[in-house]
Amino acid sequence: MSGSVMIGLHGVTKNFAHTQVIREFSLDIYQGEFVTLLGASGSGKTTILRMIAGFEEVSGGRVTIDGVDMTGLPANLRPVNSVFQNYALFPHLNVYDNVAFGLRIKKFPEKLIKERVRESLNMVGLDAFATRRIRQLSGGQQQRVAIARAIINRPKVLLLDEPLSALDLKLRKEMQLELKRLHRELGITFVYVTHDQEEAMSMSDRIGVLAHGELLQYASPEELYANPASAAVASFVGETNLFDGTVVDIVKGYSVIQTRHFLTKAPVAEGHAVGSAVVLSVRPEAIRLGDSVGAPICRGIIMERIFAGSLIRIWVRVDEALTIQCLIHGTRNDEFPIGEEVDVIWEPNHSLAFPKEIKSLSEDSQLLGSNESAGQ
Amino acid sequence: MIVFFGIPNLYMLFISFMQVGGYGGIVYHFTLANYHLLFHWIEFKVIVDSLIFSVIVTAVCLVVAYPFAYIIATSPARRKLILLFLVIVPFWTSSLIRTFALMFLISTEGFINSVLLDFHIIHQPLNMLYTLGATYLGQFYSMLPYMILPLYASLQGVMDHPEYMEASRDLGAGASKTFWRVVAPLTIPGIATGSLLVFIPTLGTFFIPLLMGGGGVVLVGNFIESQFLAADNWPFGAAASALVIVITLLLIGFSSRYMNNAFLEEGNA
Ligand SMILES: Nc1ncnc2c1ncn2[C@@H]1O[C@H](COP(=O)(O)OP(=O)(O)OP(=O)(O)O)[C@@H](O)[C@H]1O
Ligand SMILES: [Mg+2]
Repeated sequence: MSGSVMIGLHGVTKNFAHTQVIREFSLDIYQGEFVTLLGASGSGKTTILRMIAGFEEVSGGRVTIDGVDMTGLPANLRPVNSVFQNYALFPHLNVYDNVAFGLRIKKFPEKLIKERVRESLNMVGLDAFATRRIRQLSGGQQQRVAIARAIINRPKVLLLDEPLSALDLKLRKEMQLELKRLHRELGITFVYVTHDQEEAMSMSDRIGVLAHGELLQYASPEELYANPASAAVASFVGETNLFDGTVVDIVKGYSVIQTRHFLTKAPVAEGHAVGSAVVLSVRPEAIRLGDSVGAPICRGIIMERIFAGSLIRIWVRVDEALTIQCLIHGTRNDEFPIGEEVDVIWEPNHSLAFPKEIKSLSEDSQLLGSNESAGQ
Repeated sequence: MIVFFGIPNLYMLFISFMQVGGYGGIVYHFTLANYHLLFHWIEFKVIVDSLIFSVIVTAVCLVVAYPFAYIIATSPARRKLILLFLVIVPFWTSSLIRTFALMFLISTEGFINSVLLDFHIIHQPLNMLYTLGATYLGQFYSMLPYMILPLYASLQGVMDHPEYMEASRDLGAGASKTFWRVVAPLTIPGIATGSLLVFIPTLGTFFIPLLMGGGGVVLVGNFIESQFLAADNWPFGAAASALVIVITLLLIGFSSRYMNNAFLEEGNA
């Protein structure tokens, strides 16, 4: 990444009463970037956004915006604007007055305000709605007004806290594209919060993955997918199969790993030593079935299959404690019928073994998909 | 409702169109004379005076009650409970008794004068009771809780949705602009309800001017009372009442437009 740092979080911590909800959080966001904070509910995403916006003071560390230390600066003096999860549109004002609010506070002349409101509403496709009351708008329209109201101030940074979570799937997809377009057209920095990994993957330049108030990994979507730093990240970003195991040997750049059900290899990584506990991660699309080219890793029975155009999603049951999820390329619907016994194979190079964390999210049998469709 | 409120009022409306007998009483004969008298005679001034009195009492209540209600709404739970309790206590004693207590406080031999005399701050007792000022004080004092409670309810609604204030701060408004442009407009329902709850009884008040004003202060309530009791002119008294009721109904109709609290509930689509 080039350019200047727009937002800097330097060892930020946050305590509510006596519980620490954000721990030593550091992250740089460059001017013009689209950065997403991704994490499960309660992981601290909103808290971080609120500390950037100035609604919460940091308990420790520093927040800088465009190089300026924000400590002690109230929200109204910070060069950022927010799109709230519940929109927070002023119910006593109509669409026009809501959007004009920020400029009226800054005492712009009404003539200029009129121009800018029109321009803002135009950008979100709501020109015809200026005189509507807020309660006469649909959820999607309210969302657009909230965005228009925030961008009219031409902030350096736009903060968006799960702005699409209240919308139905189709509208959400539409708004995702619109937000990307707005980001391109405005050229300002977007900080986006979501717990939807697909949304994060499809929209962001970089993603910060959070768990329990800590930053697990901060990287581009591609990097996160290909090189997750931990089993937790691997399971959060895209779908994966996780297996608990132990390193029993290390040979020629590979760790030999024994799990309850099979013996396999994975590239040696940091924290591997003979005897250490690891979590093995294998993406569903890395798995092949039935063609005994290499030695099979295990065998199982096809329990369930979903045909989806060029891909078939298959669940292979090894025993009552282990079901493996696979994504197979195939255009024929008669391949891999339910009940067939198959070999399960993957390339060692397509698997990753992470040192087992104390509070591992995985269990041998657990299949962690995207957090919305965990399990099946 | 209809039986208890409708019938007496309809009867009153009916007799307001009747004539008064030579020695009091009602002569059942249709006339508009009572209303005619009301608008042309000097008694109309009583109504104007009462309106001015009620407007001022309502305005003072609003100005004093708003900060009170704000403090209550923004207090932590325990203190909030105590403060609300203090506001509600007066509802448990008759306002007549509270008025007597207030009279005792400010009378020539009363508490305030004796304290001031004892400390040699004054050498002559102050004449506070039986003045127009005392009437204002009495009415204000007895009405204040009726203003505080609806304002509190409204403000609590706003405090329960901090996102509106945060959105305002986010858009660059400081604390005072946020108050005037967001908090105050969102509490208009409370302002309207409280104002009505204070204005209506104040317009019809009669024992507070009687007790605190000592007969020197005559408001429309006293006037109506005297027409019914002293002058024994029921039709004229009924006509004055009817006028007060019409004014009240107009006010209710007007303010009900502002009492709709629904706008706090939406917005969380
Ligand atoms: N004002 C507060 N007082 C006490 N605890 C709080 C407060 N705000 C947040 N928390 C706690 O801080 C943690 C992080 O909350 P936060 O709202 O940042 O999570 P989140 O990642 O935004 O979750 P979600 O996806 O559900 O919105 C939670 O455990 C929450 O209970
Ligand atoms: Mg949140």
